[in-house]
Amino acid sequence: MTIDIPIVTTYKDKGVKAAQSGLDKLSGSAKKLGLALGLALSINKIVAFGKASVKEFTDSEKAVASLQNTLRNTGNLLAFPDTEAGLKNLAKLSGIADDSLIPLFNQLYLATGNVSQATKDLNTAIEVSRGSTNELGSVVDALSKGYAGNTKGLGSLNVGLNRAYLASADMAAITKELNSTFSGSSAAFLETYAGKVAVLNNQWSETKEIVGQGLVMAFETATGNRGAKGMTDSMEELGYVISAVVIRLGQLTSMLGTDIPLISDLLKRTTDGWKFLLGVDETRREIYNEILRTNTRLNYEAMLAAEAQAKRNKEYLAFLAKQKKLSEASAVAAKKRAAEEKKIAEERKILDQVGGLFDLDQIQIFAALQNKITDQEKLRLSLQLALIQENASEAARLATDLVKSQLQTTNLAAAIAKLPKALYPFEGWSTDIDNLIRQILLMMKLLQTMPTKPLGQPVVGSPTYYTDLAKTLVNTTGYMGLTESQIAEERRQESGGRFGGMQTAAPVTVINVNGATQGLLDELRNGLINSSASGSFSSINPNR
Amino acid sequence: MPVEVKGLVETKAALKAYAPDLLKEMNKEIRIALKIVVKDAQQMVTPNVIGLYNWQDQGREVKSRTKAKTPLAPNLRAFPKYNPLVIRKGLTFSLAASRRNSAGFVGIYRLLNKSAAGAIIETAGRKNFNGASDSQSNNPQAGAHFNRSIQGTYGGFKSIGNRREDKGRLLYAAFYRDQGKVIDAVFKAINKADRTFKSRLGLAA
Repeated sequence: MTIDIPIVTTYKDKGVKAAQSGLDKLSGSAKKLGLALGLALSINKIVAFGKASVKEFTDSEKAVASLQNTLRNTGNLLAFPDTEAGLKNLAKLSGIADDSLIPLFNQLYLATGNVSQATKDLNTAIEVSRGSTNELGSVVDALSKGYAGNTKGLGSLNVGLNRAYLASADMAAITKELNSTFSGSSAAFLETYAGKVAVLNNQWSETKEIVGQGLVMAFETATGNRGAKGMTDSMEELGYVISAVVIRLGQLTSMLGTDIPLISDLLKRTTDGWKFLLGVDETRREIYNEILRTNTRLNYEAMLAAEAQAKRNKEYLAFLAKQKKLSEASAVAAKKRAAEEKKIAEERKILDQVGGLFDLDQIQIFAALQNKITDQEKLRLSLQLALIQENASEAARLATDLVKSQLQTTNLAAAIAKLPKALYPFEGWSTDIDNLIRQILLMMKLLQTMPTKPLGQPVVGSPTYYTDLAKTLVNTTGYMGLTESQIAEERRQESGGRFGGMQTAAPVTVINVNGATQGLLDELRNGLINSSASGSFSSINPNR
Repeated sequence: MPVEVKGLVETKAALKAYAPDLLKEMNKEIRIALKIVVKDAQQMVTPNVIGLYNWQDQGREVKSRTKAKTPLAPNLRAFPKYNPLVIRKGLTFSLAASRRNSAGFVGIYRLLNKSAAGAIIETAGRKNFNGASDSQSNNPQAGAHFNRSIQGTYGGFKSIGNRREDKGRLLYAAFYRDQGKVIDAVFKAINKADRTFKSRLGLAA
């Protein structure tokens, strides 16, 4: 918490003036209300009551007309009498004026498209409204938007429907959930004082409505065929008359003093007198009769409208069936036409092909192609044929080939013509080869004349290498006084005999031992032990 | 006690619109005057409160001893520890207008004690100095001990008005010791700006 020490302040009267003004107005209104209450029996009140009654009646009539119109436009006029009766009953039970309920019903009906569902939803909306702090209009608005897929309003009602649930559930589930949550809220509300007051208020409105209907009928009767102007004139006259009567009544009352029984008696007599004079009971009956007549007329109109609607529906269905049949026939015809066109095209193609056989130009080209012609000419003729047959792709290919062929032919011929005479590369080769062979033969002859072994020279690897070597070394330095055999032996020993062939080889004895048995191995082992002074021996195991 | 001034808001608005340099100059002078009081209060803050060793801030995070954090109260704070740096930092002033109070008054120039521990030093024991008589605590004398320890370190309350809420130990005491000099300086600054502004417009000599 911040400690705030204002050392310089100022007074801000924003809002205070508005509040003051509001209080002044409220005070004025209170005064007016007091005045109005004080003059409860004044002329103003009577006239106001009359006006209020007529207003109630006109409002109700307007709402009913709206309902009737909505149902008529949606082809449900037949349901109008029951719907109106149901709504009036609902109004009585819930304590909400029917002229308030009807527009809400209209809204729900337009959203659901079903009278029964709209009535149920209206009941649900009333329960929710009574069970929560939401206005009935808001609940109906949220429900009707919910049917259109917008559940945001239902979420904002704060009636326990979370966003995830609203996103996943359909309206049937949502209304079921609302019913289970708020069922009985309206009945509970009506048990309260406020609920009873609401029912009484509603009933008072209904009473005013009936009075208003009577007044309108009376004025209509009184004014005859003078229309609205006559009606308003009559109302004015009636106001003056009633005011004069009440003023006179007040004067009479003051003259009679404060004797209450006398006044009551006088008032009763006056009322009875007025009743007798004006035929109040008769008028009441007339009101009922008029209501009955109106309802009967409306029912009859509804029946006629329903019949007309049924007829229109039948006509529309017939029209749809006819349209469907026509479209199907049209589709079949189109398919048939397409098949015929395809067949005609194929036949025309065949005819064109056959007709081509008798085309003179083509015949000439075919004839020319039978002759011995060059490739280029053949290409040219083929191209001409393709052009006559209007074969574009073949013509393009042949034209390309022809151009290539022409270019190759013309350029190559010109180049060949310009080339000098080529030299023969193998000219004179036979003479050279003959000379070469002669040289080789000469060399072979010379080789044959050469000795096979150099005389007096030792040849490595020959058996006489050391003897030949000794012959060359006799009486040379280092071998003085030695004979050839001595020198040869000395050289052989010194070189290990590796340069000359061996005179003799050492004898080799090969012993093959097959199928050595354990007994033989034991004998060998024992022999080794005996010959060994150390006493240690190796174990020999043939199975290892 | 705060002083009510009529026409100051309009004067400030006019200065802001037509002579912002004068408004700047006036605010500068007022800041200097207010800073004197704030500095005085800041100098009063002691390093610790004698006898309340465990109240001293040891730099560790403190958990609430009375309540646990819940999803509904995730920012539940523990009882604030005594930290002289925090208290000094919280002692400041403002030239911004406050919200209108229930009586319709708006504070134009204000002295502020923003820190929680500073507010405790300022006001502890202002209502029940010897502890609440209906205390349900296991240690009903703890409140009295706490208040007396603060009183022993900071001295008694200094009152700047007649109400119980008009007294305290830090800012209130500093304002009390200032003996109205700050208000005088503020008004001098306002009058000076007003006079200069009017003379510029040629409205008054």
